[in-house]
Amino acid sequence: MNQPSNSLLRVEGISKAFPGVQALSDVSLDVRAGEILALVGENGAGKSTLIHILAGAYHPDAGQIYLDGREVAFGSTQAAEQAGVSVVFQELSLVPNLSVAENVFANSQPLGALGLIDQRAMYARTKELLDLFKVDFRPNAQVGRLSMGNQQMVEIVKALARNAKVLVLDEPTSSLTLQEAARLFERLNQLRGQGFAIIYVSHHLEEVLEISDRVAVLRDGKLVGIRPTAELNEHQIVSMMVGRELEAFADRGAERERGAEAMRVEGFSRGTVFEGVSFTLHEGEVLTFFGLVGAGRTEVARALMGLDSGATGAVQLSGKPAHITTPSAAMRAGMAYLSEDRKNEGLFLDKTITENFLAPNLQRVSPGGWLRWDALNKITTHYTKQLDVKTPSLKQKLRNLSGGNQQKVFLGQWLARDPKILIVDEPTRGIDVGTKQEIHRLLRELAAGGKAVMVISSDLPEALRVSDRIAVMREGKLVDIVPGRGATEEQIMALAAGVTGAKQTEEVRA
Amino acid sequence: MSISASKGATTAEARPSIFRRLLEQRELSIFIVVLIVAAGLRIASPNFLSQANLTALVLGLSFNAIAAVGMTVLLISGGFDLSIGASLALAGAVAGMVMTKFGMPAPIGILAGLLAGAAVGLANGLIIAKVGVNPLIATLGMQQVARGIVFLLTSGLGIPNLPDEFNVIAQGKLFTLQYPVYIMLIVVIVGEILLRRWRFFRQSYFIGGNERSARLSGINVDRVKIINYILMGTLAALSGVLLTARMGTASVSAGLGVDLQVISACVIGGASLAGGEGSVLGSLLGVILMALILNGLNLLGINPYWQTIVIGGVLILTVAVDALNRRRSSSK
Repeated sequence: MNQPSNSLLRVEGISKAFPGVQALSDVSLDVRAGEILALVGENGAGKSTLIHILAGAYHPDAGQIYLDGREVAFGSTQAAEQAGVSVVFQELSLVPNLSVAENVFANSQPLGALGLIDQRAMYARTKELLDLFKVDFRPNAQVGRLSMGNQQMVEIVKALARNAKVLVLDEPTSSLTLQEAARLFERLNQLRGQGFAIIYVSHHLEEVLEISDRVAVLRDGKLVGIRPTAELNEHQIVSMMVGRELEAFADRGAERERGAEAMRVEGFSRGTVFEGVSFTLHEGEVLTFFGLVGAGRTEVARALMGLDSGATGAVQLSGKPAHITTPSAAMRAGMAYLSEDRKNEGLFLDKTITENFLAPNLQRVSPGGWLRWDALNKITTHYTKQLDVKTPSLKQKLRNLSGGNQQKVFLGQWLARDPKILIVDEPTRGIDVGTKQEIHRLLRELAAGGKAVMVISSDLPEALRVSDRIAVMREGKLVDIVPGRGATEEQIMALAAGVTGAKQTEEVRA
Repeated sequence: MSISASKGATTAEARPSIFRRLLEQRELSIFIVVLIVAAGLRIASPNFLSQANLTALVLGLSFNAIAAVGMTVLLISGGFDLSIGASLALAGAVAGMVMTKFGMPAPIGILAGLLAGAAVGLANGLIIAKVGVNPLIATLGMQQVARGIVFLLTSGLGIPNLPDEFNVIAQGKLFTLQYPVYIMLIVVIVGEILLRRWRFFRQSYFIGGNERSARLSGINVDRVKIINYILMGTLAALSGVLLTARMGTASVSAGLGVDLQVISACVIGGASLAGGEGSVLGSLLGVILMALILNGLNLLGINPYWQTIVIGGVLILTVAVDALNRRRSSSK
């Protein structure tokens, strides 16, 4: 089934490790001219690492890359592009203030006399590419004014302008409407017909089944298999993606009675970001919001905390209606939110551990307005000890701590406020395995101690491990809430990816 | 990800002594530079230690030092103000108008001047925090507006012959030093204590360190920013009222160039234009260092046109040394 002879791009035995994680181990796959290869896997399965290697952004620890049968080594993203491999990342790299043509030819503008940019040639060439691609915007349109779908097209045209032979698309439909996605598929079919090799990375299995010729499944950094799409259905792909043995979780503890209702959310909506979300969160439980990236989980948490305005619906805290519009109001109401982006939203990397503890605890350690260093040092010492933060000194700047220890400081500074409701977004993202387990145990302990813990996670084993209940979100809607005990990865993944049968109303893609 | 596992969190830390804090921080190194420059001047010029020179030096730096307290708080919170020179002139002009045109007593004039500065600060704060205009642009525009109002109010001529009961606030003496020196000391000491210990001002360190994190830590970022700009405007006005009283005249050109001088002094004293760092003590030392250098140039009879060149050079040198230190410590 493997036919190296006509594969355009082939990787062999690629491995890549990051501190604490083996992101890829011994992955071999190939993509042929005139083929769309879908690359699927859970969050953290290694797709992103593989794409970055193909883009020349990461260097593999082991393994070879062959292009047209010749071994290549991409020292940089420019080298990869020059060789003919272009990656369109989920976050677009366009400059919104510039025109389409200027974006398409960023850094590779055709030059005319005196080495000046040949505007006429640049616009003419862009026009050709756009015509070839049958899109309805003009080369001089300002990119920032185009729809997300058209911006995606510009990004692809940009790759084509660099004579890409292999096109890697990372979640290209994540910010597109259904119509835009359908148009994108037409274009991709067209490119396939023209002999391009396309690697299509997606969470959305319906898309994968619709567009791809073959499917490669990654799990835990390893290639599970490559199969022709025609031989697969969604359930088979899901079981390839999650097919691991469930690890036992010793510390889960006995089934407990749920405590009093800490939060009740009804009909919570914000535009189309999330719609009609209703759930209750009880003291003494861990309720995990699971879903694929972009399902709207973080947005729900942010709206609950008063970080994003414009949400409608009813929120009750301990049975009393609450109307929270600022983070400080949420904090006063006994809520704490630990953002998934702890470096930019939560911590102060250039400040010491002690100073970081001060930020959310200013009120507490400054009775009457005067800061009490002794009180601050006391809580800092207490919580860094309790959470076993590894540091030579509490005066260490946070930047110098490992991700796991930063996360512990983050947890500690909020636990010091003794919140009733703790919302933790991606509690173990970017954290080594050992600390990950400590944090899982901590979350269970906090719930056992009576706190209402809401976790947002894209890590399915984590969700199964820590949760009393799992709320699954998909495309802005809360699909179902299932008990954590007894839930299977297949079941949750199927809910999150929408593989529940044909009753879905919005299946208009043809 | 380089930390090696160590014995775990250290145990109870005593509040660091002032001496240790000084050793670790920028203040001590500037203090040493100040001493070296002073010693050099002592050797180079016999007039340096004369009472006349020292009192003039201290009085002269008081005006900038008062404004530097406000600027320090502002820089720490990630802010910036180029309109303080204009606020300073505006405060003098408004105080002069109220006293001469409307015949009000001096305390009312002083109050009116301070309010004018506070109003400029409020406008800056609202435009920056609520509308989201970049502080550089907002305060640069406000500089023009406020300076223009000074010209309008005084028909471009300034207001001479201010009443003695007003002038005495800057010309009166206590133990050989004029009142502004004592006012400056009070502002500096109160500012230093509040910035270290008062909850409200501590918030600025977090806002300047990481605004998004500060907001998520429950800090009312907009409110703090606005109050900081009001404080800045008010302190600039205080400086302006005192300077006006010192001259006996409200001058339309008062405070020209003060903005950059004060910002430079604060940066020399350890405040960061990126926010999150700085102290009143450091900024005061920065003001003193700049005043000493200018004083030295005067005493040595060097062409005054060298003054701005030297000040600019010192600023760049300080920041360059800081940048090099930072690069070294972050690459380890």
